[in-house]
Amino acid sequence: MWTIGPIAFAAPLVLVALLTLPILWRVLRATPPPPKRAIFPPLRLLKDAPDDAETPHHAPWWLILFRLLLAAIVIIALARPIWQPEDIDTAPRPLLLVVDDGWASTPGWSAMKREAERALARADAAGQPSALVFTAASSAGDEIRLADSGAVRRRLESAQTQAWSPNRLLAADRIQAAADAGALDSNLDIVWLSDGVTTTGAEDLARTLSSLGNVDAMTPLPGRNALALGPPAIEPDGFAVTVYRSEASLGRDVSLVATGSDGRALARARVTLDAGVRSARTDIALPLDLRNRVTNVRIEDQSSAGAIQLTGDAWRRARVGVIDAPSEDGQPLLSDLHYVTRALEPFSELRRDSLDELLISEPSVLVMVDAARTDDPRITEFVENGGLLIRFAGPRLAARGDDLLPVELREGGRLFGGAMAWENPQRMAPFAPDSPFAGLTANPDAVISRQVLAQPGSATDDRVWARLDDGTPLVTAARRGRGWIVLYHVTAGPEWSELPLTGLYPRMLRRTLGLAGGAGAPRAQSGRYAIESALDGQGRLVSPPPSAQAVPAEFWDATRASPQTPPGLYQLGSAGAALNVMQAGDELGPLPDTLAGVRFAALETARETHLIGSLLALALILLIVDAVIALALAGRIPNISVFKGPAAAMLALAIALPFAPRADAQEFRDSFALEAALEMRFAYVRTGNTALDARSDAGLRGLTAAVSGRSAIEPAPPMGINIESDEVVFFPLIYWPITNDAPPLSPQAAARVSAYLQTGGLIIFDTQDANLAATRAGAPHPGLARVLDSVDVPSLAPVPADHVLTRTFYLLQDFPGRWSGGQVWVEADPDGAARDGASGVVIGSNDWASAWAISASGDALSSVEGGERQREMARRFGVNLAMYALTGNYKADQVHVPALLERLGQ
Amino acid sequence: MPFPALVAEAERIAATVAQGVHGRRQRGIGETFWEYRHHRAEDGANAVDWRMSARSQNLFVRENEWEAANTVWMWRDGSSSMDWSSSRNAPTKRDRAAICLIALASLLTRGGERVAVLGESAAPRSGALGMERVSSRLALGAGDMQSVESPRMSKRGLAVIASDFLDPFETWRARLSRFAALQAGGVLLRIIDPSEEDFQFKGRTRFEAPGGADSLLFGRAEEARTAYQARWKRHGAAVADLARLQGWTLVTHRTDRPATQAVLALHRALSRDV
Repeated sequence: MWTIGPIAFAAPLVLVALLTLPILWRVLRATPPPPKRAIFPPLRLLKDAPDDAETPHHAPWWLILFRLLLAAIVIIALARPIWQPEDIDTAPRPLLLVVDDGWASTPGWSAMKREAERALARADAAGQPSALVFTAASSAGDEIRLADSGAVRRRLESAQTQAWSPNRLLAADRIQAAADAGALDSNLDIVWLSDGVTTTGAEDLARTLSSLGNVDAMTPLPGRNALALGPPAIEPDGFAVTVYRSEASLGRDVSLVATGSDGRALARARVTLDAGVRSARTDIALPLDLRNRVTNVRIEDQSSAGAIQLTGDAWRRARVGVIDAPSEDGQPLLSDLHYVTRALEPFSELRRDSLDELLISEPSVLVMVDAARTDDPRITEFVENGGLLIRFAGPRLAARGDDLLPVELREGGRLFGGAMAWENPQRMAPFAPDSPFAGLTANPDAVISRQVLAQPGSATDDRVWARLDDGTPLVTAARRGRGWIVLYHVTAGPEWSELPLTGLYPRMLRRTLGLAGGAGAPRAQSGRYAIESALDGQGRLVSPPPSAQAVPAEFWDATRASPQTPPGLYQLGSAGAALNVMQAGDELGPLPDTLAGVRFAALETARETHLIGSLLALALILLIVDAVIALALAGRIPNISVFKGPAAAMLALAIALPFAPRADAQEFRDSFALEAALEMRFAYVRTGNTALDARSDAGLRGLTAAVSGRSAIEPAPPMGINIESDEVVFFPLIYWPITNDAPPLSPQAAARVSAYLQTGGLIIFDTQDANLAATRAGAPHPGLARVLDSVDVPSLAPVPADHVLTRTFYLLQDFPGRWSGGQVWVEADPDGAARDGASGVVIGSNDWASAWAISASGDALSSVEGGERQREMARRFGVNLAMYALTGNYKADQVHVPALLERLGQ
Repeated sequence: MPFPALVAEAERIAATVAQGVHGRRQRGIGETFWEYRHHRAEDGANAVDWRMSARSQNLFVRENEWEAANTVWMWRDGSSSMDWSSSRNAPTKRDRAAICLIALASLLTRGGERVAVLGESAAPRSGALGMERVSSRLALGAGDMQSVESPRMSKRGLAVIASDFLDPFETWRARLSRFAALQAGGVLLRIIDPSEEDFQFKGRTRFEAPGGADSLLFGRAEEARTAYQARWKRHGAAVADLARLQGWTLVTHRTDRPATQAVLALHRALSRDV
């Protein structure tokens, strides 16, 4: 090893070969490139022509330099240079790789694999065996013994992170057992690729490892270590989650996403972990019905099993059981059950059935209206086990209270506003800010006329959720066991109050249902949770691993993610539950860097790089270039002539185009606008049909000439416009030839055209097919129909005999073009428009452009059906059109001038 | 170039040229009616066209257009120097010569002349069959120098010799001397490849004869250019002399020009002689 600065050479003796370069220089100089070969029949005539053919010929100097460079690169590459070489220390020893493959390794897994690969390569280079231990492997993991690095490498390549935390205690035991059994050497080189998160057995593992040899522990770089998501806690307006990390030297922004079962993101939030802070909590506001759809909460960009929280059943839409009761008066629309069912249906999985049936389906909420009142002890049990019981008052409850009430009731109830009552019906008071109904607005229309009354002593503030104006409780609630009992002091139907008729009623019930999510359905106490789908190390739900075992229900709460109980979704009968990596109270701590006998280093720091591969690749490329140069010098590149002249220019252009600055589209638009606006000119719409466009251009030039010659209008030469992209507002008159296959307008173009017409423009649509129109037999012109479909054109009518078009300049009876007799249409009733009665469109089929068309020398270009007279009439119509476009209804008004003058004279 | 393509190209050219060529426009021996003229005393009675004369008081003689058939002997050089072209886009000199001659043969056949290939056709023929034989021999035949050095053709025939005439002047004069003995008229079609005339070579170049028999190495080919072009010009003058000595016409054709020009020139030259 020989080192210059950051470069070392593994085989420095090869560099001696650089001394041969000057010799190579002489040799290359002496061998000129081979001559071009040319077959030449008149060779006889060439004989004895003057030439210096036999004078020695050198290769060009740049070619010699190029080849010397090539040789130098090859020599340097063969000397095996190394960039930033590592110190190779003591005598090589067998390698033991200890790899943390728990969920926390997922973010840095590829870096860990690379590092392991490097360690293996070093062991390879030293000819030493190696062994590999995964700390998250189950106890039945592979046997630990030294083997050749090929086998280890294969295991490493196929390894994936696991969804649980590493069990370092177990790993230490396994390693110790292997060492005791003599499968490991006593003096090892140990590389511990750690995820940087502490676990209970970390110290034991460090102790075991350090007794076996030198331990190098690699921890992820700050900012690359794993993030974990704590279990979401239910809040009144959504839920709160906490993000944990093990290492806190850098600040970090984390975004969270809550996803529904259909994969849609239901909510997002950002959490900022400041430097020095290892956990941060954030609230995610989410309405109840959305919250109930959340199936998991994840840290975005962090795909590990610890960065996801499955919600399982806990947040499903509450399963509500409405205890059925016989309808008393046979009017289902007035029954209490009807109202409460309709109010709850949108937010819950509602079932209306007898109590027996309901309890089998394990609801989290029971609704008991007065008619369905029962003292069944199973209801007490349901509530004590965490169920939510919603009760409504009624005549039965007023007559006699029972045990399942949040407050003690006075017998008899209370009636307002009756014939015999002193008091007026009451309204609801605003909800107290600490009430679960806080934020809802008490509806003044909800008049309460009867209620059951709580005993004053029992209705403490914390039990009363809503009151009437006079302070008597309307809704009371109390915990019973692990569950809740909520009592509405009125009936569920409109019998006692108008509350069920207001929109407030379902909202209040919905808030009440929120308790059900928090309290949770009663958990089964017997049976076994079987895994449905498990999380893998990347936090994806996959089919469970074979090591998974069912969890007895009584141990469920104490179950942690492990090879036997992988995190994921479990099922017990109809009840589902989610087992997550992070459970309430869990935190992430950093792996202490004071572990005895362990040297710590960070992953992904600068490493030595072997340059031989890239240098040889460069030499190979240069060799190919050299071959091309040699062929070119020998004139053997075939078809070199195609690269000359225009082809070469095009090639250069093709290469240069992507790099050339884009022609400024804005500038182009400006130049178009300037040209169009600075002088008055007519325009025609380009159709893309070259012949047709040329005819339109010639036609408008003819019209321009006719108008300039005969009237005071002196337009500039016409312009062709692209209706899809160009602004049309500059032109007083647009001639638009329509072909049968005219495409429909884009919405932008249609909007521009409509705006143009509304601001007083004139468009002449010409289908140019008067001679064919009869064959369509009344069907609309297909191209015209397509074009006008999206344009806002008012109703049309044939030109009336007294239309202004017949007298704006010439007096005309018909409007011939190349053809005559085609019907010409204008707006039927333009008076209503903002254009003062001037039609915005003229639609015809007489092919006026052909009749107007003149060549550059002023000769008519097309023959016209009716000869020169018809051509003249067509020109006159053109002049009328131009006048019409510029003066509008002026001539129509002028008709009245004599009458006006006459009236003035009187 | 394959034979059918060659013939098709030649026919195309012949059709182009034919539009520009008209009949002899003079009376003579033929079958097509040309004009009626008044009977003259020396015509004799059997010359009178009685059908015409019966319509009027005068006697008329019917005269036909002159349509004497002549025989044209063609030869296309098949030496190795002809089978070469300087660029991929241009035809070989041999193909171009064949095209020109086939087109010419086609034109002549239409005019009723008889055409034969020197050294390869036993007897001159006319009509479609003759045309086909001539085409195939012009396109595919060997083109031996022997056929020119001892031509077997009728006296006072017409000959069209297509070659690049790269051999020395004396050699060609000796070859063509036999035609003088046969009192044959004719045309020389000299085919030139553009690179032979322009000599655009540059740099270190090894020039080889087409057979590979001989080669010349030039260190800087561009230096030889002036000298070569002077020699080429002298050589061209020598070929022109060759034609003049024979009393024949020389048509020079570069393969990068349209073959139509050459065919038209050939046809004009022959029309003069026929």
